Order: sequence, then structure tokens, then C-alpha cells
Amino acid sequence: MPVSYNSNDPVEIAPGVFHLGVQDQPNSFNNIPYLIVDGDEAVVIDPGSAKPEFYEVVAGKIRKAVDMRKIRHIIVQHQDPDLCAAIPLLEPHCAPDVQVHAPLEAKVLVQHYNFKAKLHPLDDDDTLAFGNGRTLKFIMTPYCHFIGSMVTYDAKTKIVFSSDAFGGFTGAADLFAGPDYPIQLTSFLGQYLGSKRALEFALKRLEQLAAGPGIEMICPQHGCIIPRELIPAYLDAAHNLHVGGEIDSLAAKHGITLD
Amino acid sequence: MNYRAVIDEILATALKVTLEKEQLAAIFKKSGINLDADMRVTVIRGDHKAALVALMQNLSELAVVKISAKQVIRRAGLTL
Repeated sequence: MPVSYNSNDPVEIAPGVFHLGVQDQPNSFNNIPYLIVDGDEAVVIDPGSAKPEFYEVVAGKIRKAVDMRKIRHIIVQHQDPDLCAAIPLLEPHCAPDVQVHAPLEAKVLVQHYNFKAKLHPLDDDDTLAFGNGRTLKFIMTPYCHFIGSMVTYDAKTKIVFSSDAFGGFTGAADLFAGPDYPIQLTSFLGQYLGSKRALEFALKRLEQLAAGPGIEMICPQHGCIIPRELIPAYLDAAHNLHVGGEIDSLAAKHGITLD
Repeated sequence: MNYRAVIDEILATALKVTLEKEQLAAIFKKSGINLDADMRVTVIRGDHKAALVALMQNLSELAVVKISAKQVIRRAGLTL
């Protein structure tokens, strides 16, 4: 497997699982959709931006991996435009019965991306089964960073698609977390997460998965993939994160005392 | 308060989260902080606190660096 990704080719990170990442060097906010292909079915997770310099790259990578008409499901793990804005662009190329899946609380917002496909709400522990029995499990991570946030677990490859959780600030095209990733991750999550309780809940759900069926890698929608051997260290780092600090800064600036 | 140490930590963090080194150096220079070719602080013109305040204003041009810098400032216990 390569150590970095380029602007042309999908990277198969596990059998039938493709990284479709697009660099955003000026903003250090790379955009990473994923594609799962199994038999005659394909699923796109967090399809990404509508900006042509992002969407055209993602669409090109999908075409190299699969006939787009095999895409029967589009999963969005929360409602942000860097995940969802590509839905109406991707939809016409997918299977005629393509469905969009989103967490229940995000569904009311995701509808505003104005696509035609059926929008299916997801709740905790819901699953999506491929025709051959392969199952994706949806694990709600409320308030991390939005009430309608979730991660997706592929039981076949033991990959967690973590969306913003375990993302990081980087404009580099490194596929896997390197020595700078702890700072890149904490700089991102430390500011974008507001609730320590929400973070702890999400981490403990992931620890349940790790202790049970196991996690081979964590694949965030920004930043770098965290492979199995580094997962315990990153879980520890996340437990030690101070989140919601922007409130403390602004409260001090404006002379506001909070309990 | 050692404002110089905070400026150094903001720079060290910035170099891990952005590849836009030229823009970063230009922002530091605009804030009265000169960097050498190895991206190390060489000269801070005038008061260090004032330079830090100016830096935080000017870093809005590189959002992820400013976001990272805010956390450095909080960890140092500063309110600007």
C-alpha cells in the first residue's frame, strides 16, 4: 500500500475499501470520502464537497474503482457541507434506486442539499446489509460534534469510518498518521469538540468495539488513517484532550463566570 | 508571562498543521516577528505581548493556524 495519496487514483486500504481523499493544502482541511465495493453493490461514505476541485477528483477516483451505477447507498455521518454537498452531483450517476442514509437528527438538515434520492434516517445500532450479508453498523456519537453524528463500522474489514472524530489539520497527503499527527489531531478536535462528556461517550463506544470484534483501522474524513497498532495511543490522547476551551477564553475576555 | 515562549510554541505548532510556510512567515513578519530561513524566530520588534496580539489578529488569514494558536494561548493561561 502507498504511504501517500495523489490527485488521480483511489487507494485500496482494505479489500474493496477505497480512500478517495482530496488534498486541501491551503486550508489544511483535506476531504476524504470512502468507497466500499462488494460484488455488484457499492457504498460511498461522506461523498464530500461540491466544489469542482474536490468533487471532480472524487468522481474520477470512484470511476477508477467501480461502475458508478453500482452505488446503491450514500452514507453521510453528519450534515456538514464538506461531507454532503456532493450528494446531488453524485446521485445522477448512481443506481436508480440509490438511497441516502443519515443520522436521524441530521436528516432534517441533510434534506436541504436538494437531492432526489430517498433519505433514510439512522439510529443507534442500525445496520445496512449488502446483498451478500456484509453489514455496516452505525454507532451514534451524539454531540461529537453534532447531535446527529455517528461513526460507521464495517464488520468485514473491522474499519471504523469515524468522520470528524480522529480527524486532524493537515494539508499533506499522508495516508497514515505520522509523528506530527498527535498535534494535528489535538489542534482540530480540541477546538471543534465542545463537550468532554460527548467525547468520552464516543471513545468508550470505540473501546467497546476494540475490545469486542476489534478495530483494524480508524478512517477519519480529514487527516490521516490510524492503524490498529496506534489506536490505543490515540484513544489515550483523546481521553486527555481538553475540549470546549473556546468558551473559557471568551468567558474570560467578557468577564463571564460559568459554573 | 513569557510571551516569547508562547510565540515559539505557536510557530512550532503551525509548522505541523500547515504547509503554507511562505504565507506563515509573511504573517509573522507583518506582526513584527521575523523568521529565518529555517522558520525560527530571530527578531521580535517591540513589546512581545503586542506582537502576540498582532499575530493573533493577522493569523485569521490562516484559519487552522489561528485555531491551533488559540489552544496554545489557553494552555499558557493567557487572555489577550
